[in-house]
Amino acid sequence: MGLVEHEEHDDTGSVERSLLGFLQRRLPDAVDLRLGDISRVATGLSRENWVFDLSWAEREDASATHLRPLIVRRDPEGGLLDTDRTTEFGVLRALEPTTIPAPRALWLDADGSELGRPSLVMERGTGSCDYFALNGERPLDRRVALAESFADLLADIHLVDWKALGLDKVLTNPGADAAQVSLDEWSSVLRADQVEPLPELELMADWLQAHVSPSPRVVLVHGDFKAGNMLLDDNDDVVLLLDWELARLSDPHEDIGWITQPLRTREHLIPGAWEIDQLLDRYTRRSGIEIDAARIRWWNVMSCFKTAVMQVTGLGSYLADHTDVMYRLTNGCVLAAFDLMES
Amino acid sequence: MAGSHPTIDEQLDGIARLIDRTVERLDTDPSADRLSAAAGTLRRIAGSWHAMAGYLSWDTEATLAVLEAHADVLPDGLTDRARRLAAEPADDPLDGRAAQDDNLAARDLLAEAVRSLPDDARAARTAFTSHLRERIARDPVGRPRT
Repeated sequence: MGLVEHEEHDDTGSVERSLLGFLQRRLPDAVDLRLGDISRVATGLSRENWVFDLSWAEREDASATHLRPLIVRRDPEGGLLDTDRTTEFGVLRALEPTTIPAPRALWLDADGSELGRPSLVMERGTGSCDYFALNGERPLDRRVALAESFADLLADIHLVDWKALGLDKVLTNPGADAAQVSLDEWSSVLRADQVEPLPELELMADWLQAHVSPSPRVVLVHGDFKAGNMLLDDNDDVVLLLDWELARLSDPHEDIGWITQPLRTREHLIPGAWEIDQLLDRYTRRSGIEIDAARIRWWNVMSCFKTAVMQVTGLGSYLADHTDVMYRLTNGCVLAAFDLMES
Repeated sequence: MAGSHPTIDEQLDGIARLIDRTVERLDTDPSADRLSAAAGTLRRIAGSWHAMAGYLSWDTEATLAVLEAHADVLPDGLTDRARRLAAEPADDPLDGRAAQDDNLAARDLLAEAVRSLPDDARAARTAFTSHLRERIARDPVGRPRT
């Protein structure tokens, strides 16, 4: 399940027409601009993704032709998340000179005046996406090697010199208050989007507030690090790490808490071969960043809270007729948080 | 309705079956996922609708009971409202909508109670969490269909 909007808004013809105009304005010297094989892809729960092959010739030399596989990420009418394409565009642009395999962002329609809703156009990578690559059909040694490369990539993201890249001009630096800022932000989303009293989430927020502590350091965090946001080539190298819409400057424990939360063990751990201790050991050796168990637990609960709030946002969108997907607060999410709070 | 059939379950199952057949013909059409989810929702409703009014009434009663048990750490006004709700049960215990409204009112009080707890009210936090665990365990939507 990946499509979050109504069929009537998915009209390929109108998207194609508006994209052609948008791209022609970005490439004024291009002639015979064409969009090939445009289609909406059923991946990603938060954005509307359209893939296409852009071809064109140069005005001065019609024999010089170009072909570029691209993807446009457009805000949906409603769904799980309300994030800012301008910020995501800025993060991707800032990461360009680094070795982090982030997609190359090309153009932005910040206010949606040209493409209907805020959108960004990026280069499209080739590779395969497998949410459960660590627990799929690959032999165990390849899965462990893949898990090690994921831990290394997360460490590399956290080692990015965000000040030198100017990311503090794109993202807010919360300093030592990263945990409190995150709790406040997601609590605000909850208050804005909830359609009913939710004592379960009040208890989570109450526990988080009681146990919040200053963050030891600020790094660039991805926010939704997982195999499901990666494209792998035939050698299992990560070609692209996608979906940077939740990227922020924050405590490194935020990403660690996200990938070690009980709801996501199948995506990040291999029973008996790649457990949390091995993941943290690899990450720490690569990054030099010390990880604290109490902070991991706080961010584990925070991850459940974030997931729950996204579900609440999704439910609100469903009730407002902005999405066809019937989101709901799941019992598993609540129980996972309660177990962590009482552990 | 002259007979007892089709029952509510049979009607919901029939619509879900119709959707399944449509999905088979859609093949890779993106709408297939949405329709499959709709059929799943109908089956979930079929498996739980008959237990919902009783479940909500139980939860309302248990929520108000746990609030009463920890009234000593709650604001007086909140406790008064919980007692008034407990004293005015729905006229018709089989009225599902009334059961839902009462349950929302009780959960609103519990949410407010959590927000008002003093830092040291550990027993109340434990009891509220325990009650909400029990609520999940009894949730008819999450139970296998019999």
